[in-house]
Amino acid sequence: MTSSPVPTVRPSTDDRWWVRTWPLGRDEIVSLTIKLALVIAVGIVVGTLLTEWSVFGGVREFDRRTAEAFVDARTSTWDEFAHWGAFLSSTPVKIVLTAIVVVLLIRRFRSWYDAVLIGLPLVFEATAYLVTSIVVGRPRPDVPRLEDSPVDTTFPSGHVAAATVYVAFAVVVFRHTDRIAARVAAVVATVSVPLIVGLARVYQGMHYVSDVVAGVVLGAVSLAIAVRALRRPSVDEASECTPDPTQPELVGAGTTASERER
Amino acid sequence: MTPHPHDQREASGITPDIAWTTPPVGGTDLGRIAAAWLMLVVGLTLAGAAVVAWWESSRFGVADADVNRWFERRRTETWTSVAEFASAFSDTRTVVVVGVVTLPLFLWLLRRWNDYAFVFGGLVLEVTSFVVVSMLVGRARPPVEQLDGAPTNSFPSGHIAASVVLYSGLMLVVYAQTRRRGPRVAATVIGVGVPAAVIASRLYLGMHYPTDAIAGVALGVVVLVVMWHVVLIGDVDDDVPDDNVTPQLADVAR
Repeated sequence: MTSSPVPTVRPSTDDRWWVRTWPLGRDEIVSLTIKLALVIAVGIVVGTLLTEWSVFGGVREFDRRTAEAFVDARTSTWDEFAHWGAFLSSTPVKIVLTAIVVVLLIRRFRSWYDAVLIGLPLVFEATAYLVTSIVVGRPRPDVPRLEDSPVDTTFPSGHVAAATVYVAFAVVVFRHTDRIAARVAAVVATVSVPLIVGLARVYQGMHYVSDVVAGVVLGAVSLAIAVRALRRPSVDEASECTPDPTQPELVGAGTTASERER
Repeated sequence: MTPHPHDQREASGITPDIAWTTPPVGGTDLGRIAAAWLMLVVGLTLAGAAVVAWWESSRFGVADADVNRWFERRRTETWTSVAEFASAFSDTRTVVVVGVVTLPLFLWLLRRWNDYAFVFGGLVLEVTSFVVVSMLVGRARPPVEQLDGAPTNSFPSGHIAASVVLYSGLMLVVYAQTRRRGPRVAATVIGVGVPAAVIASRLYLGMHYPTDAIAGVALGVVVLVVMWHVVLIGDVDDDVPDDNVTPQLADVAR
């Protein structure tokens, strides 16, 4: 970076937490934008090859056969389960859940970090999904579909990508607690969501299996990029994630005692 | 009025780190909620019966349906998907999933039941009284094509009542816990905007008369008033003095 004599960034010792803890500077945003473009480019290439190239004929054949097998296996009970399953990742649920969680996290920890950790991968994933699916334009499976969708394209699965991003909840839990029960519960819950959603969407004839796999990859990549991009709260940035001092500390919550003393 | 258990523990100097083991409501509170439920059901059923018996056949009733026809004439594909999207924010499934998933998060992050019980207990009160009233009144849906399916009747609107309890209720939780202007403005936008969007969408979709919408808002508001008096959601710690600077976007965005 340039060695400007005047710091362009506010010192991290600012006593206003909403200034001190904002984890996205100009560098981070530029880097995220470049990575977003790269992810979209890779998605478009993979999606187009998968849809058009004869080498992947086997994959398309497998997709087609699994889609039909799921149609043959349909029962009214499973229809209902699939409806609920896919619903875990529907847009209103995603928006409301994320908004509530973000507000609760900000309130408790007086820090943007966890909130951005939840929100950023979702925005990243949604943007990449939108552009990729429009450009690739793969038609949905040619089977009776159990859901209406305003989107006609199937690669990748936006539902599954968004469901995978729920794993960010587990990342936040890991940052703040050592309790095995809490960690196991967080991992089991957030990992099972994309599996349930993916299975449900294939069952409903909304996506091929390869779309679901691509959705998982997109979600995981978005999450990994976002986690790496955020300026991690460090020892130098005075105990960024110390919980609200008037509220009691969780066991092993986020910061060490030495950090808290600063 | 006796102090709330939550206040007593604060006063007695017990650290609130086990506050989540304190139930948000006691025995007498449950009695008050039950009384409120009964009054809601009786009051709304009488109002609904009056609407069906006298209002619908009057010229006001015709005007009531005219609003639905006005919306029906303006239906387009785009507006229909917008209305379905807005309506989905108050679907039973949405509310159930949000209620279940946020329970551990509320307990972990606020370390007490009160805020969760205020909103989602309010939803239980709302939905149970709504189902009974809807069944007893049995008002038919408006004389336009319905663009959404529903197992219940027209009066009152459960979607609208639930949207008021959930989104305006969350707004009240924010109001109770901070005086800072930024969060309050954001909460107001959601707490007023989402129910407004749900009202418009239910009328557009031909699911409810305007009178059903009014009854739905009334149900939601009464539930919030009851819960406000029963469950304390006041500031656990209002860290921001009144004269504190409101966070400006410029500061945050750097």
